[in-house]
Amino acid sequence: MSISTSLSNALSGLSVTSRMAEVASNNIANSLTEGYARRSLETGSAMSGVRSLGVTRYVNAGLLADRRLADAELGSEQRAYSTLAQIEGLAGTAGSPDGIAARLANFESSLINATADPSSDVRLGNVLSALGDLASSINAAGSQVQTLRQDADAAIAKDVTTINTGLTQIAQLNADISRARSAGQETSSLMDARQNVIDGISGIVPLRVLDRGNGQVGLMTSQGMTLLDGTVTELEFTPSPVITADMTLASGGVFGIYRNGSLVDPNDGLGRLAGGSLGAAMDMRDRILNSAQSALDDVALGLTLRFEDPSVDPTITGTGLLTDRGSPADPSDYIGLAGRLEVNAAVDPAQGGTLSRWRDGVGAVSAGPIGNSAQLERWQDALNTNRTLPSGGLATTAATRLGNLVSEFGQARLGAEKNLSFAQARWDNLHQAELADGVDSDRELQDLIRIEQAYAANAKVMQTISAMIQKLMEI
Amino acid sequence: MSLISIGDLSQHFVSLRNSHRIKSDLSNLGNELSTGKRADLTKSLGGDTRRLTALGHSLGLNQSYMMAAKNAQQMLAATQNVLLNVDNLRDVLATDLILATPESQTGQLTESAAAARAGFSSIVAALNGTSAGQGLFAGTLSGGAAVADADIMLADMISNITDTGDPVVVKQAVDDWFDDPSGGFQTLGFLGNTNARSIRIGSAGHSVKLNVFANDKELRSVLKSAALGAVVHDLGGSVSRRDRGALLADAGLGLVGSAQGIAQIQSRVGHQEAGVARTVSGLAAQQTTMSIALNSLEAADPFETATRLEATQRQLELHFTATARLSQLTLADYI
Repeated sequence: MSISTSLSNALSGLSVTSRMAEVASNNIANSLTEGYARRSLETGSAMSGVRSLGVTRYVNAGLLADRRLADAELGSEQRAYSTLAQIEGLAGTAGSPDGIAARLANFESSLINATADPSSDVRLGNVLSALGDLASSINAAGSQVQTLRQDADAAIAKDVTTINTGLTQIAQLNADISRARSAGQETSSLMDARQNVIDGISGIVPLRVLDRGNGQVGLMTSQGMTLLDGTVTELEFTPSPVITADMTLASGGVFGIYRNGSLVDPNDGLGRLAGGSLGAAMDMRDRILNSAQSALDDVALGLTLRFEDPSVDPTITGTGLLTDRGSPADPSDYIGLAGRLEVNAAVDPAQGGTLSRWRDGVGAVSAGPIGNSAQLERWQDALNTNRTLPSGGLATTAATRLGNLVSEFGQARLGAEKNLSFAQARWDNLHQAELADGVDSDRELQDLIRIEQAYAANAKVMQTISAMIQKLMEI
Repeated sequence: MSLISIGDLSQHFVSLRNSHRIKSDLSNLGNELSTGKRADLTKSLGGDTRRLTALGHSLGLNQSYMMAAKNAQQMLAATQNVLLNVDNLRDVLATDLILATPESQTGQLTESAAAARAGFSSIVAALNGTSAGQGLFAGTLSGGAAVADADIMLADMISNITDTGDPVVVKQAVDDWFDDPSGGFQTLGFLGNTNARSIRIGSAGHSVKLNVFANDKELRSVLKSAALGAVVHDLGGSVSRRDRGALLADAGLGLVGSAQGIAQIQSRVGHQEAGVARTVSGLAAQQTTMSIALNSLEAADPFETATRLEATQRQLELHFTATARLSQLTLADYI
């Protein structure tokens, strides 16, 4: 009968508007939640009245995919920048009064002062301590590089753990969503949770999310390695807590990433997992920090060889003023020399040497005239002659080589800073566009006003129908 | 992108981002103003900091060269002082001894001989002069005396005189003792060596060489003549009055003749002093130039920085005002 049909229409209207109010209130409650996709209730007409077609999550898939790729790029640039900024600090930033360059200048100054009075033990002691400071600052830089490699290695381990945990959680959520769907339940909050977990690992590797139907997703890296597609891929990585300069991927001292038991790429240990913060950490550990180490080693070798030249110090029997832990430097094998550089014990009274050898030469057996400054002058000249390294390159003075090193480190950091600010700006824009699709509390309130009116209208219809039936009863 | 609604969080995010940017600008500018140096030297120099490093290096060395040059000036001045002293002693002694003749009175001759003896000791003491503990005329053996004790030298000289009665033999013995390359002075009189003290006052081997030695021909000539007079005093009665007069007169002539040699050494040292003085003023000028160049690379212009700081401060205030206003505009207030 039409009157009972009108009642059921009004009833359906009431239930749908109260569901709409529930969705609007959910939206407002979550207006500050990052990663919350705005919900809206879809309604359609039914045979009699209105029915709700389900809650839809408003997500712009293209924007989300772009933002996730920007996440990976940002993560990679951030890691690169922070490591390169620390590398810049190793040799001292340009103009810094306690960088390696300043200490070399200090050593040269102390040599000049000593020529003015070579008989003074005070001045010779100053030369010794200036050289000691120079050697120890190079040592510190060398050991700091290896510490940074250890940090990068630890970061790789942490990233791999995060990916593995995330993949397991996503697989679990996939299963929950498909179960809820088949039971006809709401899956929106589960999908929100899954989106958050994917966002948590999107900075580590660049991801592509694949829709597998029925609410399932698969994950692939943007370069084509499948991470999740029905089954979870297990990534394995063995951390190396202590790393020294000679430990490389090729030598087996540090490790690459294994996938389901096999190495992903024998060349760089990374393969198609590159592009995010994981890739950046491996690049740092295996390429950038190694070249920083060899640049420092070159500086150390250059200084050592200058002092090992017999034309500079005729009394030499092998080691010069600077040694590789007590032995002469070996130009064919000097990796890590920066960390092993030492002042020759023969010129250090604290290690059994004598200060008079600063006048007479490192290998001098007996003390010579105390006014003799010729050897001190030869050492200063040795610093200022143009020499090439055994590995080649321009012939420069010691100070110029150091200046070049400081400048290279500075330029690398500047380049990384520019890349970072570009990646940050791109991410900011995508993130802002993504947030613009979020909850707008003004719109929800406006909707609520409309919902209230609709509810009141439906209630009024019921009241009127009831009055009509009442009228009928009064007959 | 929805055309109907804009999410709340997007406005919030933009506002936070802007606020962070303005505040970090503000803090950088404040830092620049306080330290007077540009905040990020590498960035402001466009990445190439080699010139900055090289300037810093050169400035540091310049200061050391300055100090070394001043040390050198001290040594050279001390050397000139001693040479002046020696010249005075020579002059006084020469005037005294010239008056002696074979016909002079015994008393006068005794006094002249005594004066010669004292003069010889004084000249030896002067040649052993030091400056700040370093010997001036001993070469690189600057830790010890340049010349042996006067008594020891005279004793050795006298022991070499075969016939004290013959003045020619006496004079020849003293001459040989000083001039013979294997004579007494080279073996036991001169205690230093002839390697010059070298003070580095500039790059590329620019050094001051302190190359006046007690062994120099000119100084030896003075010592030789004074020693002759001193030997006459020490031989005392074994030399006849006539011989004594002759020998003392010879000594006086020798002292007069050695004046030119001393003057030449003084002139040589004077040239060196002038060279060092030129170097010092050159170094001072270089220091000024390099400091100016370093400043132009490193220093932050205080006026420009203060202006930008003011502008950034104003911008932050406006940003806060805008944020406050926008956050008050919400439909909830009107329902």
